Amino acid sequence: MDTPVLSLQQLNKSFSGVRVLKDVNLTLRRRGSILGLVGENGAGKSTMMNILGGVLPRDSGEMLLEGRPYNPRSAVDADRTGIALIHQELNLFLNMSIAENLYLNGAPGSTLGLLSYRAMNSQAAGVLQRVGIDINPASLMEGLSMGLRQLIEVAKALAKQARIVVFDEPTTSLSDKEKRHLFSIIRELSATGISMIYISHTLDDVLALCEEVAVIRDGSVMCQSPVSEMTKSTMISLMVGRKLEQLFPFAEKQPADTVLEVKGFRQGKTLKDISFSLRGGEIVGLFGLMGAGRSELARAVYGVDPVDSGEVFFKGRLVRRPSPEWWIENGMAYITENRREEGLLMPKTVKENLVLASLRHFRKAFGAVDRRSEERESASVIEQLAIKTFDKSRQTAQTLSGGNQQKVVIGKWLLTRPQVFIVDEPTRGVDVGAKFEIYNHLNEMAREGCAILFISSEMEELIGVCDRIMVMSNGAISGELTRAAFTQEALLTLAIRSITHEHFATD
Amino acid sequence: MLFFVVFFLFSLLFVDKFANPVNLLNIVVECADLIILSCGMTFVFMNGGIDFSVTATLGLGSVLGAKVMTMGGSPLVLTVLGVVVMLAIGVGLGALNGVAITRLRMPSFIATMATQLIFSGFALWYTQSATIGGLPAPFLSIGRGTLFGVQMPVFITVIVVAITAFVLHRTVLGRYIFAVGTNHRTSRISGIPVKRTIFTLFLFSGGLAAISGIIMTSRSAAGMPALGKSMLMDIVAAVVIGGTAVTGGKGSILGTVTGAILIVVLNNSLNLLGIQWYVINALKGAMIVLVALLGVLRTAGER
Repeated sequence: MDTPVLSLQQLNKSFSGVRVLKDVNLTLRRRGSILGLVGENGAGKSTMMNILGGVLPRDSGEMLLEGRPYNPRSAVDADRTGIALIHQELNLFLNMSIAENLYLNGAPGSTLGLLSYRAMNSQAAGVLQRVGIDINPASLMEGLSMGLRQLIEVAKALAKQARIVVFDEPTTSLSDKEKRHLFSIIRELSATGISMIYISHTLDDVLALCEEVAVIRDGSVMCQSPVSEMTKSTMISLMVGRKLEQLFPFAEKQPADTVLEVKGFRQGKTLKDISFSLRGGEIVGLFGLMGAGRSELARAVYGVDPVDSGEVFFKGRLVRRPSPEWWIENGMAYITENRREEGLLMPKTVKENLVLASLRHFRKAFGAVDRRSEERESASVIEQLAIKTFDKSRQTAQTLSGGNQQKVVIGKWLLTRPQVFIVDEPTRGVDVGAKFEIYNHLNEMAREGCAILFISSEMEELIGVCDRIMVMSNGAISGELTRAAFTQEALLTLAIRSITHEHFATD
Repeated sequence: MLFFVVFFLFSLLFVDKFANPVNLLNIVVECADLIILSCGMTFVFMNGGIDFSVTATLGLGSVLGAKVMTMGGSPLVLTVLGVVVMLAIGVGLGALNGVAITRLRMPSFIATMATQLIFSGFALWYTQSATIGGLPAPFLSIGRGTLFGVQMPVFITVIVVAITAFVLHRTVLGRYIFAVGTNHRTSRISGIPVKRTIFTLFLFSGGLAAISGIIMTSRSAAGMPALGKSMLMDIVAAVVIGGTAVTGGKGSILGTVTGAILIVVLNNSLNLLGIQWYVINALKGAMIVLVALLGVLRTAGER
């Protein structure tokens, strides 16, 4: 048998006494192989990758690169050895050109610190071709779509002559088409002998793309085996350590009166005459492809972004000037799609985040904060949602796992006692176990009479959890399905239906 | 904090004349000015901003207040009138900064640099750079008088510190300030009035500049256009040394108070030791570097 390209042996790592990696063994068997790595948030995937990428030192264990010991002392070290990490949050400078991004350290043809743009651009063009991009390398990053940016990251790895490329959740912000393109590029690279480690929560992708899968749980590798011996459900039970009977809990509810009604929302080219209504106690899905205008609709309803025309009615009453302040006061909550930027105060504590949206309810005389009830309420919500935190007054949001972060956002809104809850991609970047809990909480809220608008690009979860699903395409609502008619085909057909006349939107 | 205590004891023991009651009193009064101004600056810093116009606000308030008080009439009425005018000017100019920053979306760095030039320019033009003396007696006692045997400025400072600390650390507004300083977008989605909160920060900054302007005008017994002008860098230094993050969202009034006292003691004792002012400045710079380093180390240690 050949020497493996990379092998990690008995790797250990602790942070302030907590063991996050326990005797981890992992092997990339041959050049060009793709290893899938799955596990819940906080299982240790990122730590492992950061050790591999020279960002963190290991406590003990060995790493062998093609049989030789590999001890990176910094990220630059790892770069030079040919190991490239592509993080979930891309590492690109939007104000610079594509070529400049590709050759951030070490531009070709540069002498004495002077750049040769001609050499740089011509080499960049070659690298771009390998990832299937046909764009002038001198053009700026900022105009490019997320899909293209992801490919530029891959190109960056190629420009550095990477032998091993590690992908961390590369598809979370890609459209279906962009994803397919990325996968075909990954396969091509694999054929040219570049090995890859592919980390993802999307288990179907892992099964489709990888030769082998390693499952990691609580810092230990549970197994590494060929995908042919793996199924989605075995992976899930290995990940969570128990069997999940059902991925999507659906609950029968009693829809009540209409609480929210939107009429004729228009906003430039993004929203075209949108009308819909929500009843208390129902979970309504909102599906659509990237750029269909789902998040824009939510932002417009919540009053974050202005609309050109249209009316919102809350419990039959016209809302004259919708704003986050008004909505929170009257009972709407809104989970945005990006919890790091708009959901949480990352450097602040769990408690501070939990009470953020309901601070006005903790007001005592002289505007003072009622710290006792603040303590009590945040403690009760932590218990209710089973948020894992060692100390709510000391642990900051950024040190929580993705699932727990999202639970904190949910908890923040629970404290405002909402009657309408708009959730935009609430399970993005959240592991299977936490996803299940989030669905249950949404069901629970609906059963208590809350109307929920569930925006998602994962068809499975919408089909599994919603009472009905509206589909948006190109800034308009292209159709609606009731539970009996839920199929992925039907959803996709509506999602790609192009609407040329705005009248069609009102069916 | 520890550094501060050590330094203070060191000064008491070894610096000649430092322990002299007159000098100590001097320190206390100087501290009052710096503490009040730095508390105002702390508010603006909380949103990652800065207010360069505080000293100019103070100067303009000083001359206009003095002008009002020399109009003639009952001394007590004039004093009240003068204090009200100075406070109103402080809060008003703060509001002007607030509007420029929240409505016109100017960065505070630029906006307050501009208003600093405008305010101090106006004060100089108005007085033709002359001082306005002949202030009523009750007004003079604000800066020089005592109450229950305690210097009036000390009294005022304690009240200011108590109120600002309460607002920042115990009230809903304070929570808003910390939230907005940490992340505008999350705050907005969470229903926090972001612009109104930022606006309030400048009201505090302007208002506190006015209060310290009242004390300083009273002590110098004249309205002066350039009053407090040399203090700007010390104010910023006090806030930074006090541990308030320049990027916003982090800081405390207690830290700022410590920073301010430290700077005054440093100025004073090194001065008495006969050390040149440029050496003192270099030492202050070194101290800021030290604090910044400690901050870096602390954040590195968190991971």
